[in-house]
Amino acid sequence: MILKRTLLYCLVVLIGSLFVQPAFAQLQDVEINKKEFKVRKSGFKEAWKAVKEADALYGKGNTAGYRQSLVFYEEGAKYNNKNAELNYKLGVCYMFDSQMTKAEKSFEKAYEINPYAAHDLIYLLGQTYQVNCKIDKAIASYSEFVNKYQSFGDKDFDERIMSSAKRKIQECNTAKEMIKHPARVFIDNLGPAINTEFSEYGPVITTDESVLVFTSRREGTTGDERDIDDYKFYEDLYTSTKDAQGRWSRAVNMRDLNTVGHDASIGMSYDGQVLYTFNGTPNGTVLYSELEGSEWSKPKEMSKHINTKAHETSASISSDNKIFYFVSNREKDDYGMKSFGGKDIYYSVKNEKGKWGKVRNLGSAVNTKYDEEACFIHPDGVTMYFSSKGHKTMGGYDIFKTVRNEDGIWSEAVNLGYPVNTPSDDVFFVMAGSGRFGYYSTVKETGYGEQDIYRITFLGPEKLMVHAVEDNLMASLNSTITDKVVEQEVEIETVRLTLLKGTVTDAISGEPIKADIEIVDNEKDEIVTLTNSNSATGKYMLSLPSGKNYGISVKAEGYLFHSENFNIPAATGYQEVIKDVILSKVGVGTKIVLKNIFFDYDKSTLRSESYPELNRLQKLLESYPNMRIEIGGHTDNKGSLKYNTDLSQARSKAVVDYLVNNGISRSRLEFKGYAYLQPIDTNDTDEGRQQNRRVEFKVLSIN
Amino acid sequence: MKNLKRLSLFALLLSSGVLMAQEEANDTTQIIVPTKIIVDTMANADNLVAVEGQEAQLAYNSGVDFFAAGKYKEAVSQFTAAIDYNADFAKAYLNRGSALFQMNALTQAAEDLSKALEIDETLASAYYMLGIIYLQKEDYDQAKSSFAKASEMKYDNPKIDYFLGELAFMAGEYKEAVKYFDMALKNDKQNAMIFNDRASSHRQLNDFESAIADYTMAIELDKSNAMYYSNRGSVYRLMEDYDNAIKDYSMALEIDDDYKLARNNRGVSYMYLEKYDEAIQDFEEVLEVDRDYAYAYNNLGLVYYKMRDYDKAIDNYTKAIALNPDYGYAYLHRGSAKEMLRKFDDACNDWRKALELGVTQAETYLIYCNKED
Repeated sequence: MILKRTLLYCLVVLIGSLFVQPAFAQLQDVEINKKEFKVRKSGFKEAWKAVKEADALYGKGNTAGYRQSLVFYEEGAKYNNKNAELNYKLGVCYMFDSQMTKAEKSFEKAYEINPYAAHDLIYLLGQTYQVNCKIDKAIASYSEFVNKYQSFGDKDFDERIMSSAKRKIQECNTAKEMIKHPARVFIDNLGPAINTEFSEYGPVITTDESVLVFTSRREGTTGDERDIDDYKFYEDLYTSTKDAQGRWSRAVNMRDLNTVGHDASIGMSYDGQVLYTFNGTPNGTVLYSELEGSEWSKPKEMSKHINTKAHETSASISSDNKIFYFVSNREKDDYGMKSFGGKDIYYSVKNEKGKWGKVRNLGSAVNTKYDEEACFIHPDGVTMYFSSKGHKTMGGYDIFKTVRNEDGIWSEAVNLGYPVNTPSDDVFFVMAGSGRFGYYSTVKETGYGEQDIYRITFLGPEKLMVHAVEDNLMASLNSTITDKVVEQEVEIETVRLTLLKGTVTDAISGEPIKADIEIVDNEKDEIVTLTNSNSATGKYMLSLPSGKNYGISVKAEGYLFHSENFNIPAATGYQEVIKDVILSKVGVGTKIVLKNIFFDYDKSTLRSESYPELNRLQKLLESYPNMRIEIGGHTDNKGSLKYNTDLSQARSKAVVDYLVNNGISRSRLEFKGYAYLQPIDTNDTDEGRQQNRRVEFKVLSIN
Repeated sequence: MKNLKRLSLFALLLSSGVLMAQEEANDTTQIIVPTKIIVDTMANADNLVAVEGQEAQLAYNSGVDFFAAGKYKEAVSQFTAAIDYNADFAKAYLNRGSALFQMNALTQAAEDLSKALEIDETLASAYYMLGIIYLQKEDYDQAKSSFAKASEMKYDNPKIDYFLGELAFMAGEYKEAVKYFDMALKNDKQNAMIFNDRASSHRQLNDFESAIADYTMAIELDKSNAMYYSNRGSVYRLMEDYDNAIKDYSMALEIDDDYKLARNNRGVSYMYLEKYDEAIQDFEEVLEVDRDYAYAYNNLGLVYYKMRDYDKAIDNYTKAIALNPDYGYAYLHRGSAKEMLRKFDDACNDWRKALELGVTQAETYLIYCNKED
């Protein structure tokens, strides 16, 4: 996994390397002539030695070899930088070391001396131009390469090379267009608390952006060893949290999870309770670990459907924990559908038993014959961000977005645009719940070194600018007319999502409680999500799509359950709601408001949306067989006392009747109508009156 | 500019066939008045002898003479004397109103004309003159009903079509306006002002080709009028042909260096050509002519925004807002400039204000703003 991924970070196009090898074969030795060292003759010997050493490393043909040979070639070039082959090799080494500006200069120099110093020199020159955003020059180089290409005598190979070069030209044209119309974004480095001179990448976040986990190849890695393939430190996982002022804490190594080898972050549940990682097993396997209190569980492998002999990289789980998306280079899915080519995005749906089902290819709207990588499903459940070398890329991997409609069809992939995407590889993008902020890693000259993690702020379409002009249009009148202002029909991408978060604590001690939190679609009497609050912090986070009435129940052993009701209109955009829940231990006299009991207007008829809540109450009574309770009905102060007493009494009786009909002994239940005599809020506002209209239960005895 | 406009109106009134009749009658070209009215009153003067007293009639006749000689102040005195002799002398009121109109005493003129109509409601010319006064006072409803009354009474003046055209234009009924101007041009084929106005109606109907043709006719008929150039420039501007727009605005500015609107519009055209230095210079010169012109500050803000100098943009929007606290777009723009400086909360406050002031666009910008408590 890591080699593959590092290669892609190195920005080198694989097609290029196809014919880098034959070209290299002819260039095993850079010729160093004595006559080129007239000024300082001793230099010849040193140069010869350096280049010999370099050639030996270069000959390995891997990233590590190129990177390690670089210093020796640089040494050689100090003596003679007018050698085309040497400059060509320097260029290749710089490319593999992500030093694209230097690579471009070396290739240019090689080209000036001898454009045919290597078969792929002109192609690679085009590639460095492309990556460095010198698009016109890149097009010229690729065109020259195509026009002057000489066959290797292998027709298939020639065709592949030609189509690759032509596609590069296409990518350059896309790049020109995108650079002309840049996306309105701020791209900010996360700063020295996160980024170092080494590579940082693969950021994953909780959807409220409070926790960040990422991969780094920095010093101090577990085991302190380097990968022989690329001579970089092994990957380790790091984490950081954001404070109220928006500052990231100094990243810490996640010692629980890291091993001596590669450990990389590839996905996280939106609430940060499950982390998906990759460690450098030969096949490339997705692991998951759960946050238990303040500790991460030992990573376990995902099911056999998901992990195969092929490489599985990148993972993302829907916010309802029901769909798992991942990237794999397997040949076909579990239904026999062939891969579209290279790596594709697949998904698996959790079955009723809670097991991951058969894997399916995500389809042609997303997957192409080129590689796809780094899928991320937004907590809205319908928007996916992924990287691809296909679609309309500007070069290498670009980040795209697709949205699934109600029929399950994914929309055409849209490029997130320049400067988020560049002609280099842009991968591993995640989006916050708000849809306003994204995170990814990229290489910038202004960064701390190699890849750094950046936060992208999406500013949306260009803002309306209304110039002010007036004209005196009627010859004999003083009135002026201004231009008609056409307000733009701007499609602002809104995330219709409510993020509900808070802590669950004990009413008396204030200690955090690990509680089961259940979200119920009241109308369908269907559990939408089940989650837990964290035992160490009591924190929980829930994502609720707009357009529904939700009942939320919080339960923990030994505590009376707590219920909340949330009605989120369909038009509600992104919002974060903080709801701290206090649970009371089961005890005589404890009162609980039942927030998900609904009656018809002015009547005592229970509405069916109340059943989930009533069933919870029934279960509570079943688990405490001797518990006696009183159901109390309360109203607001509109209307007479008598009317309200009658109504509240009838309503509490309806609740009791429901429980009796469901097998609870009437002797355990009392009901009472309190009318408006025990308000818990003001009766002067709508909100206050809403709070006051309620059904409560009170524990009368337990044993 | 205001004086220039008034002269334009008189020029229009002068350039009618009616004036020719007047010239023949009085052998003078000095009179720049709603001439038809005078002709009417004078033509009927003889009939009044038997009815009115001698002194009143003499004073009245004398007033008419002064009027014809362009001595309006004296004319007013004589008509006043006539009224003193005969308080019900309708035509004395009518012509004193005419003389006051010439002296730009519009309110007093309107009072006299109304008094004349109180005494004699058949004086169609009084309605017509009142129409013109209301037009000048931008009271378009009153103007329209006055002209309608004159028209009902078969008051035969080719200029009525012209004025009705302008009124239709002001009511936003541009197709109607074109029809009136077409009729006006039938009677007055060489009138630059009518061409200008018809061109403006075409412009408002987005028929830019016809607008250019009519403005060009207006310019050919009267090359000294800066407004026609400026208006043609604006059509080019709307067509995004900024080079031609700038040429026309520059012509207008050669004629009238203080022509604020043309200079402001030229600045906007430079802005779209990304000639920001020229644009800034124009807007700053506009502000030298009129320090309180909030639009120029707004436009300066836009230029600085485009130059990514967001601080200066904000300064200018703030000045525009100080001059016009209801300037919704200035708030909208200032919010957008603040956004670029990452002052998101401030930006949201400005967008909220813009929305309050009726800029609905702001609503979409507020999606990412935190809800107010």
